[in-house]
Amino acid sequence: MNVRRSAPAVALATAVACFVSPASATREIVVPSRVQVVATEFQLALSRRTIKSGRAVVELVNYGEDDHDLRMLRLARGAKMLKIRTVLPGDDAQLRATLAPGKFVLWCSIADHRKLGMEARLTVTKRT
Amino acid sequence: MSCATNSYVSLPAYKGPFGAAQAERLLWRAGFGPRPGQAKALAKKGVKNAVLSLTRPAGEKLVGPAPTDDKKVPIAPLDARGHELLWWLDRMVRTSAPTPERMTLIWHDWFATSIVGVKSQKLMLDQNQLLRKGGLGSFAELLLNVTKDPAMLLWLSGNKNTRLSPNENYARELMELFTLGAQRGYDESDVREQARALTGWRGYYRQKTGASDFRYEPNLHDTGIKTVFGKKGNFDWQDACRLCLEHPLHPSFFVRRLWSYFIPTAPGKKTQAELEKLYRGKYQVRPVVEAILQHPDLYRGPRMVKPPVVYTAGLLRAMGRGVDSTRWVRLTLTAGQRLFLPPDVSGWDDERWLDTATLRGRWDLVAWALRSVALDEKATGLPSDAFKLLTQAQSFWHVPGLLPGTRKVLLDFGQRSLAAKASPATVLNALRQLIAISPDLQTA
Amino acid sequence: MTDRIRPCGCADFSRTELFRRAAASAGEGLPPIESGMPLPAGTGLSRRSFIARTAGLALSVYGASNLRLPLLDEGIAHAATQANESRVLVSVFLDGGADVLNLLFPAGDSRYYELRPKLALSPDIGVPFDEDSRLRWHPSAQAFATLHGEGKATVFPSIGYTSPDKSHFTSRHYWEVGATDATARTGWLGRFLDQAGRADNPLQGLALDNRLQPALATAKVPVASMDGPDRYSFKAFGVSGQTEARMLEALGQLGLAHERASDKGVRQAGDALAQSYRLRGQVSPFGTGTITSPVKYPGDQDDDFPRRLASLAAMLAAGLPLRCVALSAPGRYDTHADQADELSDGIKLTADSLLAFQRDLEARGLADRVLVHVWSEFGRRARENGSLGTDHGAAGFGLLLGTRAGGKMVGEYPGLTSGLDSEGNLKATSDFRGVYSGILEQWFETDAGAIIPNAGSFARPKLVR
Repeated sequence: MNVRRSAPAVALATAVACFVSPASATREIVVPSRVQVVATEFQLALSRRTIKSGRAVVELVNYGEDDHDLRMLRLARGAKMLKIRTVLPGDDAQLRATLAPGKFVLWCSIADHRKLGMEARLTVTKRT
Repeated sequence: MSCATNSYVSLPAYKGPFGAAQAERLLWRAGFGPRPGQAKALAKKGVKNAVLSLTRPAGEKLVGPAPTDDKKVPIAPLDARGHELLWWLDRMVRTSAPTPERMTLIWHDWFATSIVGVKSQKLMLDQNQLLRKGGLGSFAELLLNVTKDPAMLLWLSGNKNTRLSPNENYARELMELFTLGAQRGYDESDVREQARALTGWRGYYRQKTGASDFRYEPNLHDTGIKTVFGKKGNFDWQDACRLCLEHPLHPSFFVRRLWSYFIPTAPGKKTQAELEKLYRGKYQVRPVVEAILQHPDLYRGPRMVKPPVVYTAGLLRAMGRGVDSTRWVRLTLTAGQRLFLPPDVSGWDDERWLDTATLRGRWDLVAWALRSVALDEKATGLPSDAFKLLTQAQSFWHVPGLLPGTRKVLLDFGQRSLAAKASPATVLNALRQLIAISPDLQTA
Repeated sequence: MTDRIRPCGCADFSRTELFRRAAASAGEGLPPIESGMPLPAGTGLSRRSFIARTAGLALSVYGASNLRLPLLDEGIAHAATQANESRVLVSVFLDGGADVLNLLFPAGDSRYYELRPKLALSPDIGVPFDEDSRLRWHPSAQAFATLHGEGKATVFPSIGYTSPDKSHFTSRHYWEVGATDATARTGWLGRFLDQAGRADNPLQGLALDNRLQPALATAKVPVASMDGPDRYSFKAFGVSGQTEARMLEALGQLGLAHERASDKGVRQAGDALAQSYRLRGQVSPFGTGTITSPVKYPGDQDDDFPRRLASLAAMLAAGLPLRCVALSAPGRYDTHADQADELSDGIKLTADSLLAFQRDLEARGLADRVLVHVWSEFGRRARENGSLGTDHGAAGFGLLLGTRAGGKMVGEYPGLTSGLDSEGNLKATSDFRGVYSGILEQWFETDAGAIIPNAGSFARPKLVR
């Protein structure tokens, strides 16, 4: 299913985007923390349970059969909800954010998926 | 077994000239192509020592810059989709021991496991490491390790094969694809009985980490008497593997399949028989590989189309470029070989690497490889001479000679372009692209 | 024991012959069962690969492994001489389960507003459906209303089958194979082509997609898939203009120089180069950058659906021998959440594109030869869920478009009081297998009994005039 939808992007990427001239200047490299969340029916599996605070990339991969999305909330008063839009089966999407240390809860907000088990915890520890 | 080098004395070994051309073919068949100058250096060793230097490397070094994404950020093989592929491609590009790495690729095709079923980059990479570690050792050991490998258990439902509800998936492929060949010396009853023997492996799903905690649960194993290949016994998963290996038709399957990765023509009857003899009862991979790599058919027979990943790694090795882009994930897919995503459990089809779609994919691979070194169309200081430009393009790829047909087409292209006032830089850019897509560089 | 052993007797050598291949090619049936993939509950069906190769940027031919492209060229050319009269069916798939209660919403059914307090459309928007005063067209589906008003649209307000399956993969599979049979491996259009098609014309079954649409999967004759014809280009950095054109020529020349080489490896590479060069020449005339459509299509350059339909009309006008064409419509119909926003864009682009296609065919004098079938794997649950969406339902929405379409609704809208099954889903008032049988008999004038299992047991609506 994802193939058909992502194909235009593929073709454009190979045909057009790669003909943009390369950036030659070297910039300071910031290595973000990364975690991959694999969604299936009805579970979320994390590539690691703990990541460092600061700049982070959270990736949602949908290896299931239904659509899934991701909500992510730090368990603290007034924390802002982080979101990854609906990801089609076979597809993926990334969220770039600056994460404060703490415990986060992650879930899929589609239909009753959270109740069925699509929820997980992530610990963010202070980057030293 | 203690003296593997002498045990294939009755096998024919290549005695013809062993120059840079032969050494280059060997490096493509048993690795990912030469680095600049490597073929010439290897040729000096002579065929036997050249082969042994590849199959018995003294340690391994990764030479060159570590892999990054397009923003020069180090890759994250466990946490970013596609980076598991970049991690492996980088090893193919940078390794000083290409043959063990090529064996890993062969086993990935032989025991083809797909991330679509496994759904975990970590488990795919764990399996990859297992294949690398045992790649030139004992096939018997490798088979046992693959059978209980978590990725394989998930992929072929081994983790769902229990006493109360046997699953035949792994049992069938164990015989059909891994050890005997389709319809060779087993029947449906053997499939069912082998499935019973294989019962007992289990993986558990853990919140947070996904499928993990794989182990053998004796109470899920069917302890009854099974009949496999006419033999009766209370067989378990290790017996299931052993029975396949001891099957009279296993050595012929093993030899033919392994041979096919290196040489595109069938082995002669005598060679086949000798290789089987070399393998039978010992299950050692290295001696068979060494015999195949020294066989005259490898040097005298026709060229082979390079698998897309081998082609890609080879382009980067020749250019001295590392893995510095995530684009390779999509590009190798388009060219027909996305690592960790074989089309099915029978692996990739070596007979069908090239069609109108995958050829276009290879073209894009080359274009992307050349992107960062493309000359400005107005660049000066280049000769306005098709011969000289062709020579420069050849030395860019380190190919001293071209097939006569290729050379004629490329010279003709250069001359006609220059006559029409094309800039030499443009012509050189095009020649680099055309050489890489020519049959000369797509085959070895 | 020895008498049980049957050694492999193949004389020629390749690894391929050493073991069975579950190749994902039409000639061998539907895409393969994915080893290791879990079975959807209650079926014997493994899920189909959803991460297939995306390589088919141009024409990929399935099920013609023994034919070389030059032979296919001849077959296509020969079939093209007879193409002018033959009828064409275009199958358009709405992926994810299109919600009939949204597309043709029952403004006159008070239960609708009870079951969908948040999602229901206002009773004063959209155009009324003149065959059933309770129903109105979704405002974004105005183009369907226009075609219906002209008598060029047959509506199936509640189409499905008994004992509906709510898995996308399983239900879609049933529709594709034309039977509620989880193990069937050829598509219903594929089986038609196996009977009526040719052994050398892959264009008779064409998926306008980068992979084969399973409804076209054949057992005998070749079929093909084609992504955008204009996507099949060969570019290199720092090479442009005339030199680029010459480089492309050289690519073809490299192929010609080596396609008959005595060395098998060189020959394979030469063959691929020559074929690619030829193919580019064949498909490039039908790229959207090249063709001139007599009508304006909606959307922009990035929208596949209108672009593909415009190419299709041009290919038909050029006399290419197409019989069955399959493609997917834009939009996401698996609307578990935030339904309202997601639906309208897709519906609008789909409907507007199909109207433009119809006008294109009319302008080119082809309209009487083409019938368009629009379908989805199921409908949505009548009662909305808690996330402003709907869950998988049963009977769904379908259309038959064209000047030769009957134009009269098939099966009635069952209503939300007595028309729901025990799970709260719309009951089917027409069966897709009866519609397939009708299309085969009335449009292709062939015996449906040989293609649709138990064809005799399904009622035949009048579909074609």
